[in-house]
Formats: sequence, structure tokens, C-alpha cells
Amino acid sequence: MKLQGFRTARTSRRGGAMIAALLVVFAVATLSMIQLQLDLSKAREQRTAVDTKRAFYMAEAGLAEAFQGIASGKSGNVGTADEPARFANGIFFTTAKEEGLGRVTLTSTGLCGAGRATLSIVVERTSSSIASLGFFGDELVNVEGGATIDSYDSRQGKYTPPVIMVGSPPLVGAKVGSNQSLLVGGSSGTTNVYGDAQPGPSGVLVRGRNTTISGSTAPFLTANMLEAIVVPTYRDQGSVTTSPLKPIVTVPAGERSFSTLHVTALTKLVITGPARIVVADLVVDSLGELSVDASKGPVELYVTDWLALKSGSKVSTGNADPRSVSLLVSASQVVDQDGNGSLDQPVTLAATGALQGTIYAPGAAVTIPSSLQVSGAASAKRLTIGAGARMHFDTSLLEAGANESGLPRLVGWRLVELPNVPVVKLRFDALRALKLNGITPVRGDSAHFDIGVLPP
Amino acid sequence: MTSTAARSGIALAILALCVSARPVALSERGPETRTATSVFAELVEAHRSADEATSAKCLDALSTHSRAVLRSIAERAAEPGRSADVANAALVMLRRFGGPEDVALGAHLYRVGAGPDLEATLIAIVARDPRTLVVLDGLTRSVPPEVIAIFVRAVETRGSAEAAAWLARCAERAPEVRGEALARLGRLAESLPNSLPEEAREVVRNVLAGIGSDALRDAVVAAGRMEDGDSIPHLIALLGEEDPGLRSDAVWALERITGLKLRERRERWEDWYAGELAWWRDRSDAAFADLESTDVATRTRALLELSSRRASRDRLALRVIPLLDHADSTTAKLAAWTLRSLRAKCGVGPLIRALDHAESAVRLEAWRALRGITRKDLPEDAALWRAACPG
Repeated sequence: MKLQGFRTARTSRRGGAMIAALLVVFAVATLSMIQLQLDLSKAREQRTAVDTKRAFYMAEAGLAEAFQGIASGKSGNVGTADEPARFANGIFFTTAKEEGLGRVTLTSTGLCGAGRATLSIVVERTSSSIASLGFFGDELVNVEGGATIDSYDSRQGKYTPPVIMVGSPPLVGAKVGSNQSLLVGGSSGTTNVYGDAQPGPSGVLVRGRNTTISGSTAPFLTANMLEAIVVPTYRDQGSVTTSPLKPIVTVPAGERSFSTLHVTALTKLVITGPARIVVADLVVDSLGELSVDASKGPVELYVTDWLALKSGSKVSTGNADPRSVSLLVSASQVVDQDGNGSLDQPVTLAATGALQGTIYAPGAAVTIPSSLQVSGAASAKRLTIGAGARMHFDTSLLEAGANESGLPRLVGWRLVELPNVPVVKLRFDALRALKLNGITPVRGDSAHFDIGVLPP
Repeated sequence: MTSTAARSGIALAILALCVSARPVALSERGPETRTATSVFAELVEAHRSADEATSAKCLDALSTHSRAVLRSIAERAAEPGRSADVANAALVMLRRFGGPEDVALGAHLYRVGAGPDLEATLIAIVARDPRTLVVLDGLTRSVPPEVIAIFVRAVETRGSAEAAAWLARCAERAPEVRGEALARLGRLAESLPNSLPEEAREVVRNVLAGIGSDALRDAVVAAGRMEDGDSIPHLIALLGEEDPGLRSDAVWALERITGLKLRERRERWEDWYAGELAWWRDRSDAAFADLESTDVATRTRALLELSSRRASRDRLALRVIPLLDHADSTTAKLAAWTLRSLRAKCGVGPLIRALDHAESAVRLEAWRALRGITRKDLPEDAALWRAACPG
């Protein structure tokens, strides 16, 4: 009976524990799966966050690379969407868009793992050249009464006088400056500087009567050094003096050196670009003409001892781009050059006409009279803009040229939408995908594009 | 016979007079035997022909004559109708021998185009005798504006707080040269190791408050160069002006004064300044009280709080200066550091005194502060600093 009872009891409990155990196992397994899923999801989230963060810094690296490129004379384009540049375990590509007035928008996309980020900045190209300072003097600049200094952009055409209307915003853009003091205006006439007139850090701006300065008058924070001119050396081809028998003499394109170029009355000397001419004495007599033709290439004219464009002489540069005509005077000694018993300044600019170019005379005092209109820039040890003169600063000189550059200036920064390109749409690591396609991204510093070369 | 002898004697006397009156070069006759007038005549010629060697010899020769004689020559040179060469030579003479009493005479000797000669003369006289400033003060009411402008240029070269005060007075009294006086006042303030007198700063603020003044932009730049914190509200107000050049100068001045880079955003400047004012209204008294606490930590916190302020730095510095003599050297050192952070020129004198502090750490921090405030690169030697920063 007991045995039967025992058997009955055992029979009644058969499989119950197993079911319970299975339920527990099932529950634990389910919970484990949920936990695993949660952990995986968390890990994925964390990895995505880390990748996004890395992609952000990758995009920053792309911007920095492009910034560096602009500073060193490149276009700002680094890599392309199809062939990005590599940095550590990620890739980036940066596009540069010219916005005009020297501004460039750089847009950089960084990819790292599953992370993607796109950043954009606007930078302004600046030039480290002295020409970018406009009308500049190391020791003194004197803008005499009645003079006007304004600006234009030679890339948008030749200079045309601005139309000033009542209520219109004031004209700006011109630049006048000195490492020391700056005198603007005199006792007579109305003097206008449509832009900045800045004295040196320890200089002072003194304004005369009826003087308008539309830009900044705050002193420069640091002095701007006028570097000595490095004069190239070529084989001396002696002296050239024009004569009525051959009234027009042409100096052909090329690199040449002369002892003297003397343009006598009623004759003309034409210098044709591209040319680099070194001359000890350049003298243009009254009624003589110096013509520079830079239509086929830039002209650099180095004067080492004496530049005398005498009263009544004429200077012409056609419609040249001011960046392509440079008058560089390394002369600095006040000596009797022509043996007439009186001392001669190293530079005399008493000519009439229009000079579209830059004048650089770091060791000499230069006076630009009202008869000579300069469109471009001029720098000298002491610079005087004569009474009633009209000077036009070319704002294109603010930008770095192909062979020189200054540090770009950051204007703006923002986050932007990801670009619609295949590499960005990949759901996995783009670097691995590129490698699978046989593309090995190059380092950022090797992925720059030159100015004028558009990425494919 | 007698009459013949008398006639001969007279003829000889006339001949002798003629010979003595013949102009001779300095090399032929010693200066001591020549009249001042004849030497002056030679100086006129030498100055006209820019012969500096002969000019110097003539001035040496004139130095043997009395001041009264030389002054009478200069007075005659100033008479109407005398040539510019004579007047200019007289200015050269005054440059060598003149004193404050000769400044008015110098102004009378001024002829059109002789600005550099008068300027050089005034610079020499001002450098010799600071009392010249008082004389120039009176003269500004009676001489033409172009001569006042020369006074302004000459006084600036004196390079002292008195000269700065003179320039400020001139800017107030002579509207024709106000712009130049303010521009030079600003530059002078920048070069001086100590703060400008309050009345000089007040003149600049008055011009800033009068929007529309011709000299407004000069005052803006001057305020920036003076780092005058009390000009801040005027400068912020100028950010609302239409003139972009004026706004640009105002931003430059604000950035110079405060060290902040808030660009041309008026609202941000206003918010910041409101915060500064709120601090002065609500927190300053407690912070100043904490400076006198016996607890080092409390004093330190107070000094750090003061060092972060950017407006009214001189007023803050005046509260900090007494702590340079605090018995606790850590506090004295931190006070020197705070003065450096505040870039307060009124702290220069006390900091120079702190160079004699018993603790080397305090001396070192005071020296650093002096270098930071004055931008002078001098060694840690109180005597040298006293010589470089008088007053």
C-alpha cells in the first residue's frame, strides 16, 4: 500500500520539475538574449558615437590641412570624394569654393568607421607682400592737401572713378600706412582717403583741414618691415640711349642688365614682358616716354642707382594688371648723379601719365606728383603723395599671389549637411571599402591641388 | 698845413673803419675780436647755404657774447621786413642759447616755411627748461594755429606727465589743433610708464562725449592708447554710429582697453559692460572687504576676482596696491601678480618699491609685473627702474 502510494506519488510528479526548469532556463536565456541585445546595442551606440567624434576631428583635420594649403599658396582643395586623403584610421576630403574678394569657403568631410561629419569655414586670403599695405612709408607718409586715395579691384576691370551719391555707404578699401607717423591733408584743398589710414605702433596720425578718412585710423599693432630688394644678376649689356634717329627703342622680353637706360626728348623706350630688367640708371628726359607692355607677361624693373623720370616725361603701362608691373628701386644714396654740381635724390618721379603697377623703394624718399596717377601700390622709405594727386589702390594686391602668401584669416565656421556622394552613403568603414576597391588614399599633405587645378 | 694834416687823419680814420668793417672769414680773425652782429651775419649766410660746420663755428663765436646782446640781435631779426633767412638764423641762435623767456621771441621769428627751424628751437628750449611749458600755455592764446601746432609737436618731445597735461589743456583751448594735440597726447600716454593725470584723461572723455567733433576719431584712438577704462561707455556708444571708420576705431580702442575681442558687436559690449557695472554695484564692496580679511584663502579669492575685471582697472589697482606691503609674502606676491593682470600703470611706483621686498618671490613677481605693465626690459634692479620710470 505504502509502496503503491509511493509509486503513485512519484508518478504524479513525473516531468513537472523539468518543465519548471525548462521555463527557468528559457526565461534566463531570454533575459540573457535581451541583455546581450542591449549590450550590443549599447556597444554599437558607443562605437557610433566614438566614430562620429573621430569623423568630426577628421573633418577638422581636413580644414586644417586646407588652411595650411592656402597659407602655402595652394588652392585649398585637398583630396576628392572619390580619392580622399588619409589621416590615421580615417579619411577626409576638402573642397574650396572661391567666393570673391579673396574669400574662400572650405568644406571638409571626415569619415571614420561609421562616423561622418562635415564642417565648413570661410577664410580670407591675405598677402604678406608690402604691396598689400597700399601706399606705405617706413619713416613717414605725407598725403598733401587735395589728394585722393581710393581703391578698385583690377580683376573686375580697369579703374573707373567711383560715383558718390548722397546716402550711399562710404567708400572703403584704400590703404595708407606708415611704420611711423602719417600726415594726411594740408591747409588747402579737400583730402580724401576712402579707406584706412594707419600710423605705426609708435606713430601718430595728423590730419589737416577738410580731410576725410572713411576707414580705420588705429595704429598698426606691429611694424611692417620693408625688406631689402634682392637684385638679380644678369650679363651687363651696356648702356642704351635713345636718339631722334631711332625714336623708339624696344627692350624685348627676357632677363637683361643695363648700365644706363636713357630716354631722351621726343623718343620712347618700350619694355616688353615677360621681362626682368636690371638697370643702374634709368633716366627719362623731358618729352621722353617710358612705356611698359605687360600684355604678354609681367615686367620687373630693378633700378639700383638712380631713377629719374624728369618733369615733362611720360610713363605709360597700358591697361596692365598692376600685379604684373613692378618698379623696384634699391637705390638709396643722395649723390650728384649727372655731374651738375647738385645732389640728386635716388628717385625722382616727376613724370606725367598713368602707372598701373607697384613701386617699391625701401631706401629712398619718393614723391608721387599729381601728374602721375598710380593704380596699384607704392612703398618707400618716405612717401609723399603730392597735392591734388589721385592714387588708386588695387585691392587684388591684398590676396596672395601664386608665388607668395600670408596667413589666411578665419572669417566663419559652421556645421553643414553631409554631401550627397557615394563614399558618405557607405554603411561601414569607408577606408576599408576604398581598399577593397583598390584605392589607397594618400596622406593629406600629398593630396593638395594647386591654384587653378580643379579636382575631378 | 694843419687843415691838410687833419684831412689826412680823417681819411686814415675812415680807411681804418672801412678795413675793420670788411667782412672777413672766421679763419682770418678770432671770434673774440669780432662783433656779435658780424658773426650773426655770417651765421645767416651759413644757415642759408646749409653749411653746418660754419654754423657751429659761428654759434661757438656767439657764445662769448652776453645773453643780452644775443637777445637784442634776435629781437632785431624779428622786426617786420627782415628776411626769412635772418629770422631762421636767429632761431638757430635761440636753439643754442634761448631760455623760456625767449619762446615768445621765437614765435615772432616764425616765417612761413620755417616750421622745422622753430620746432627744433622749441624742442631744445623745452628740453632745457620745463618752465617753458608755462610760457607756452600763455602763448597759445596769441599765436596763429600753425605756430600752436609747432608748440604741440615740441611739447610732446618733452615726454613727461606735465607735457601730457599741457597737450590736454591745448586740446581744450585750441580747437584748430585739437586733433593733433589729442593724437600726440595718446602717443605720449602710451610711452609714459605712469598713468596720465586725471584732468588730461577728462579732456579726452569730454571730446568723446561730444559726438560730431572734428577731433572725435583722434580722441577715440587717444582713449585706446591711454587705456582709459572710464572711456568705455562713450566708446560703446560710438559703435552705433553710421561712420564705419569711427566704429572700427572704437572697436580698436575697446579691445585695447579691455583685452577682449568682441569685435563690432555693440550688444555684446553692452552686455559685458553691464556685467562689469553689476559687479561694481553688487560684489565690489564684499571683494574689497575680503582683501582685508585675516584669512589667506579669502584674500586670495578676492585678489583672483579682482584680477578678472577689465573695466576701471586703475580703481581696482588702488585697492590692491596696499597688499604689496602685506606681512604675508604670499599675499604680497599675489598682489603683484594681480597688478600685472590689471595692467595698471598706477601700480608702477609701488611695484618698484616692492623690488626691495625682503622675500625674493615677491621681488620676482613685482619685476615681472613691471615688465608686463611698462613693456620695458630692465633687470630686477630698483635703481634702474626708478631711473627709467621717474615719478
